Amino acid sequence: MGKNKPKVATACMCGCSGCHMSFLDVDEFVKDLAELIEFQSSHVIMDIKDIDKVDIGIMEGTITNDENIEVAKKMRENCDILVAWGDCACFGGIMTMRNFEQIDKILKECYVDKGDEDSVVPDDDLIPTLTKKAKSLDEVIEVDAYIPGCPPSAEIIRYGLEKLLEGEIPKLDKDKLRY
Amino acid sequence: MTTVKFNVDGKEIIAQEGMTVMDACEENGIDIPKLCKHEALENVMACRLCVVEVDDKRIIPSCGLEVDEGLDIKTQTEKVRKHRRMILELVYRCENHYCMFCESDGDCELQDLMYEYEIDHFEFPRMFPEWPVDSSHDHIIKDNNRCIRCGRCIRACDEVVGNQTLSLGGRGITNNVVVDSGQPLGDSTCTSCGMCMQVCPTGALSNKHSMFKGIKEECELTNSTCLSCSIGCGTDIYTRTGHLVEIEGSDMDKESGGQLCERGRFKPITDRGKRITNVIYRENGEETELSLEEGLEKAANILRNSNEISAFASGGLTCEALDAFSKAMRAHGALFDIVGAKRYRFETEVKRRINMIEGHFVQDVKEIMKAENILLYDTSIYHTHPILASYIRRAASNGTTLMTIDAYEDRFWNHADKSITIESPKTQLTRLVNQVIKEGKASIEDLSRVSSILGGLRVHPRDVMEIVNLLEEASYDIIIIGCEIIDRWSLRHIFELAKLEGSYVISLNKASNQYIRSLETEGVYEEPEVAYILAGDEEDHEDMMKLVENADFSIVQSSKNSKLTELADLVIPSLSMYERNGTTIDIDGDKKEVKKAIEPKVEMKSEIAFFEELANKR
Repeated sequence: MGKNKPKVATACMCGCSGCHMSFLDVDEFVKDLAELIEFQSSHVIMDIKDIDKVDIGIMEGTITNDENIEVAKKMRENCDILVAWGDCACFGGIMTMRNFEQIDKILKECYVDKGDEDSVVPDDDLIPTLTKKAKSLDEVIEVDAYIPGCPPSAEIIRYGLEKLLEGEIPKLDKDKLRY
Repeated sequence: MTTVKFNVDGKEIIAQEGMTVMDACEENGIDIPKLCKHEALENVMACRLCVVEVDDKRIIPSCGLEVDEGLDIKTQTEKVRKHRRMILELVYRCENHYCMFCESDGDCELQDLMYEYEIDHFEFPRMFPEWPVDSSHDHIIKDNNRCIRCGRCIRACDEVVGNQTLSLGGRGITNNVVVDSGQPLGDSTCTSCGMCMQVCPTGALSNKHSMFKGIKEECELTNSTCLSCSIGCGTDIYTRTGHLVEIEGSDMDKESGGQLCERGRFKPITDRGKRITNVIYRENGEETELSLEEGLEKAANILRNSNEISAFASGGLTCEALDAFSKAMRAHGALFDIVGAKRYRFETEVKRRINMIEGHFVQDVKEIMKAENILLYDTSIYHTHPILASYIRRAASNGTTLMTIDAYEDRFWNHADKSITIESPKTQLTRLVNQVIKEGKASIEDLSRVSSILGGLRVHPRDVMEIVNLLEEASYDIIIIGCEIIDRWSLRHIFELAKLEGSYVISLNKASNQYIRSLETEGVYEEPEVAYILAGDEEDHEDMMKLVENADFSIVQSSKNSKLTELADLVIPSLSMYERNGTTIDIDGDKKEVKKAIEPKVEMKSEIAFFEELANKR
């Protein structure tokens, strides 16, 4: 039985994890969901961070650094249907407010101007490099389904998942669509 | 009138020739999306969102397309929807819209259309232009980041308010709404009426005081009448959990354009005056709080035991409250007066003396906009009757000659064709005008010679001639008299002038409720034993202050703390403007309904019952 369950992976890029939090609001539906799908990876409920082959990939957040791009591309390679989840992934969201300024200027203001005299802009190979502009998901990879909302309500998340499990691409109509 | 037949979505529609397809569709209940068109404003065809498919070929904005025999219009095909979707997306991507923290989230016409057209992602990258936010104004935040260039605010400011503060500036992508010649809004010619905000489809212009207090859908709506002046504008009062959230002008489809002024729209919400909730009795510097019942007993006792009582009421109350108050005061033998009534009494007296008929008075103040010439005595109406001022500005912008006479500054300086600044008495000026009209223009020479010999002429003969010429050349002129003019002689000369020239007159007084015209009032004792003041929500009137200062004992009934209540010996709480049900009579003599928008926050639930009881305790 377990082998036939569709596999789902969720990932969070630059964002507040609010969409994942909102997902937890589906309450007892989680129990039904556990019967219906198998989570391959999901940072809010599992320890596994690596993305493996899955049927449905769900992504929250804005693309703002190389790591986001890497994760997004990896998800795209490994899933059949990719869902952009929340305003950030669909439109770019609040993170795109940094697009008004040069990134160097922002970093300097945050780390140097607002710190003490020893403060420097963090510069380590382990730290992902910021992209020049914050981008929505479909500016980097191809997206199959969009579920906007800040965050999308539990009801909408449930609707989206149910549609996906029925084998359809969810499309929110005017009554369900809320930014 | 010729009609034409054409098809819309397969349905036959009959419309009058010359109509636009959009208007014809709307008349027949077919909804067409739009962002720039507004019922109160001229059609400018700015947003293109109303595109429809014509004869299966062309995509044309329906607001600019005239109806024609046999047209085949389709409003909802996939092609049309695709066009509209793209227009919406282009509108959105050119600016910085962030619904999640926008004040208009849930109240936004752009957002509603984005939902309607199911936009869940963008086909084009966004632009992120840099726009400043202007929060310099006391009441309005202007955020160009959310502006879609529909131009409604610009048209509202020009066509409805007649003020031309806003316009478009810059070219190409730097094009946006500018104030005057680039000033901050708070430092501009803005009259703070908030009309721009009322018509803005997005969050580009929003009310500082109503921000984030709830969307309209979550508020309760009460249609009432504003009691700030005698124009009596219709108001839509939005309240939530018993608090005022926002006040908007209703009747946007009417000639007035649904305006409100700063006092009507913002003051009630910004008012932070401390509410009077208990009866306060002051004796020998000591203050005691009494219950409402004890307060009533006390007031009745004091009124019963005194012979000279002056009762003075605000002109901003409902007819019912004024009626009940006047009856209670009459029962105690008081002399009774209302703010603005003195001026009306003078007016009636002068009218009777010079046999001036009612036909000389303008029946509908909107007639101002049709006048050829306007002669305005006292420009303080800019503050006392701002909506009337907007009619004057609109008329002046549309070619009416405006001449103003004021003792101080001319508040219509950028609309007036001629301003005469003359210190009191204006009587002399008007008297000379009358004389010249009667005796012929040549008489001005003699007049000025005689007067200058006597040293009494403080009027420039040129000014006199200008007024004479102005009134002689036009067939429809209106003379407007502001409420600051209260001397009988000025009124008499102005009325005589109107009679001589066949001009129409609008005579203003300070009462918001023109019920003063039918209620009996008289001059009160200036230094009475007892003064009973019923204050309204407006600022303290100087006559009220004088009475309280001069009376041996003063009773002030008011909703909020003021200098009056601080001086009074007995303070009684009353209802505020938004807690009363009743009626008011506007300047044209029409009765309008005033509705309770919030539950009274004081123990007193009805002033009328209170006054009835007071009358019985004679």
